[in-house]
Amino acid sequence: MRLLRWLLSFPVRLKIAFAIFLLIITLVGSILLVIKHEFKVNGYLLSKHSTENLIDSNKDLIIKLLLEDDYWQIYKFLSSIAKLDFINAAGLIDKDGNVIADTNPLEYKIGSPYTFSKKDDIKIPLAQSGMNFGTFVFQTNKEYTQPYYETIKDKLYFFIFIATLISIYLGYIISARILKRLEILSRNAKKIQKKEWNNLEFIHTLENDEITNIVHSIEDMMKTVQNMIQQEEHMKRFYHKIIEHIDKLIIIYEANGHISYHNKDALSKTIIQDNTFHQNFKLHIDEMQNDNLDSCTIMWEFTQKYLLISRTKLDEKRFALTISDISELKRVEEQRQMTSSFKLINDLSAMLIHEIKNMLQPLKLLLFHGEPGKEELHRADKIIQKIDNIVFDILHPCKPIDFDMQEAIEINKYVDEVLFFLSSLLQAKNINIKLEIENDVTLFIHEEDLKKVLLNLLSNSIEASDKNKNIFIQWSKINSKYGCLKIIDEGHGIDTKIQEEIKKPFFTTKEHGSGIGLFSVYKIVYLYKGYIELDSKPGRTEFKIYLPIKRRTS
Amino acid sequence: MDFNYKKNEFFGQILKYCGQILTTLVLLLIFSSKPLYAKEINFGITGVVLKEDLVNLIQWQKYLSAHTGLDINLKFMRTYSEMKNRFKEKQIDFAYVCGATYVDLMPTHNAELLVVPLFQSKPYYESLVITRKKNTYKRLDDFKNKLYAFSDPESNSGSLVPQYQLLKRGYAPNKFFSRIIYTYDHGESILAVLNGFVDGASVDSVVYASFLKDHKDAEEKLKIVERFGPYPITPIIINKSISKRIKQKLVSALLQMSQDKKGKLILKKMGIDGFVLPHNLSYAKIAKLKFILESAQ
Repeated sequence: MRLLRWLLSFPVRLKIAFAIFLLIITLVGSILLVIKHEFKVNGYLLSKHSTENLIDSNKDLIIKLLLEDDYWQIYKFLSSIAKLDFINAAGLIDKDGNVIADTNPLEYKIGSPYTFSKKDDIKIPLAQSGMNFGTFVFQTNKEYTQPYYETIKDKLYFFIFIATLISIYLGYIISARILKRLEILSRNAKKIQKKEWNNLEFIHTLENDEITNIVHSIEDMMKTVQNMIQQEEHMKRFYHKIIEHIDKLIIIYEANGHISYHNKDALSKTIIQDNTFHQNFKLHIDEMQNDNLDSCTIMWEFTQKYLLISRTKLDEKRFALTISDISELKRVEEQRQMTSSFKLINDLSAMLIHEIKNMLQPLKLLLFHGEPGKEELHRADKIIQKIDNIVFDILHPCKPIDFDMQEAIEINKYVDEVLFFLSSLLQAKNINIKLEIENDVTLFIHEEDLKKVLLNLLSNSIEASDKNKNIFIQWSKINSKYGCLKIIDEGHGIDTKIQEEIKKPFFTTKEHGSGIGLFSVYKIVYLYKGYIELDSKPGRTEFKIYLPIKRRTS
Repeated sequence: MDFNYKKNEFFGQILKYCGQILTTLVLLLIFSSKPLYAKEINFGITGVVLKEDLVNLIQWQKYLSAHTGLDINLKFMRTYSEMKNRFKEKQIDFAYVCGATYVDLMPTHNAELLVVPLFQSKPYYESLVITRKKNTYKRLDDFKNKLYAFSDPESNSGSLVPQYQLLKRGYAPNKFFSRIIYTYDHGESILAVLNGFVDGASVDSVVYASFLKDHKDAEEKLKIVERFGPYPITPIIINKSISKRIKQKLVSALLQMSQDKKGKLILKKMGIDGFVLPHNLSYAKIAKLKFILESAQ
């Protein structure tokens, strides 16, 4: 293992050269072995054929010698064969397996039983005219071709040596040329890291191989990366400029309160101290975090300005704050609200005057055309009462709301009270009320105002619903400041054309409606700093009444 | 490979034929160069000499031709029996034979002694029982049921003497050995022992001495177990029908060999001192031995 590690730590060009060297050695060694083996195999075949021919051409003589019991001549014949290069030993055994003559007479004496060995690789029967006289046994000299191999071996070794040197040199050159190109790539990568775009090297080489293709691809990639990085830097500068000049304070801070970035907005001077939030400002941030608020508006006491704070979670650790000075907006809004209030009073006065004027006309006829009788006085009294009701209805919601209530109220109780009050209407249409009330969510509102909101909305829903339908009443907390009261009916819905009109006083689609009910609801909700959302379509009308669930501080 | 081998064989055959043609041409040249008046004399050689030293035998032939003026041909006979037949048919004029062969040819086939060699200054030789030094055999009797080499069935030293000795010692010679190998040549009997092909052999002491001179390593590997003899040495015999003039020329040439420089060299290689006239040398001992053996069969 240590040896392997040591070998692997060699330079690449040496490793490639060594690998080629091993390959050549293995290849050439295999060729040498094959040549040597072929020499042996062919040597054996040559030995076999030569011996067979020798025996065949001397067969008659041997048989004659056998018949004459001239074993000595047979021995001499075998000895002469054994003197040939390719025969080591020769013997003749009779048909019973006993030795007639053997060139190794000390081991194989005449008449002794012959024991065949693995070395006996040529066996030639001695037979004539169907008579079997025995068998020749020969042991070939498998190495007899060795001298012929030896004569070419030195030349082969020389050529192997030359081929090996050339292969090592070529391996070294090839790997060096590959590495040279890879080294340029490596240097370029470092230059990209250092953004030394002008010092990048481009490769001009004769080789048109895979490495060159890779190099060119990487060159293209480097150019693309260069463009991307430059573009990114440009964009970075561009957005940095925007962020720096935007009329907002932008802060990136970590969960522990450390500010990692903020732009140079003037607000930063009072909000940020030593890369942390001002202690008072930190309280607002913590409050937002606790209430899980994405945005809030505060009055920043150090500058006496209204600030709109928006909070965004960037990742697990970091948050972004955008802080805008909305004091100007607040002033404009207050002016707009005041203007709007004047216009409302104006519109309300005009409509009220018109309404009263319309009622005064018949009253004038009743009272000032002759002596009014009992009937006329009764009718005049009704008209006056109606005028009184209208004035009461108009003026009542406009009463200043007492925000100093000490106790929060539970909505559940008042829903039950209103439903009881409306029970005859509900029973008449067999309407099913489905309640989903979060009891632990209390709100701060006058009981009468809450009842008026519930009564008006539920009355409208019952009126809009057909028989056997459902009305859903839901109350839940939205955030730390607001709860949402939803009144959902399955009635015919409110035409989108009149959805804006229904907020106005005296607008009614009912035959005997005063047009004051919904107006009163909007008035109450807005006076409590709440707001209303309407979503209506045929078959489903949903009023969402957002009401404060926390005591107002101002 | 098969094709190559056949091709080689083909060229081998071509070379063989070329060799034969060349030999024929050389022989023709020799024949054409001989004097027209020369008479052809056939000199028979058997296994009594070391045939493997062919060059020395040819030198001997040339020596004799030169000193006799005769056209002497060497005729090699493989067996003593063949020699006898050829001699009887007068295809052989004079021959270097075994004493036993002379005994067979002498009475009825006009064979007479021409000269006899001197071995260690005597016209006698011995029959030697030899084996490899590693073997523990001490005497001829120890070779019972062993492989044993005889040179020629009719050889005195190489067959008859050991059989006679076995007979004398109470053995049936033809059943004593596990197998008798006939090499038809004393030199080859020695080789058979040397190679371990046989356990022992009976050989001519003259040939054995000559063999050891040429094969120094053999002396280290071989040993003499028993010696039998002395017996009258292997003689050179001549057909009585050959003219006295020729006979005289041959005797003269053979006797002078020990005096001649070239002759001495030839004799040395043959392991003998020279040739002498067979003054009253009797081969009766061999005749008696043969008679006893034949009677015992």
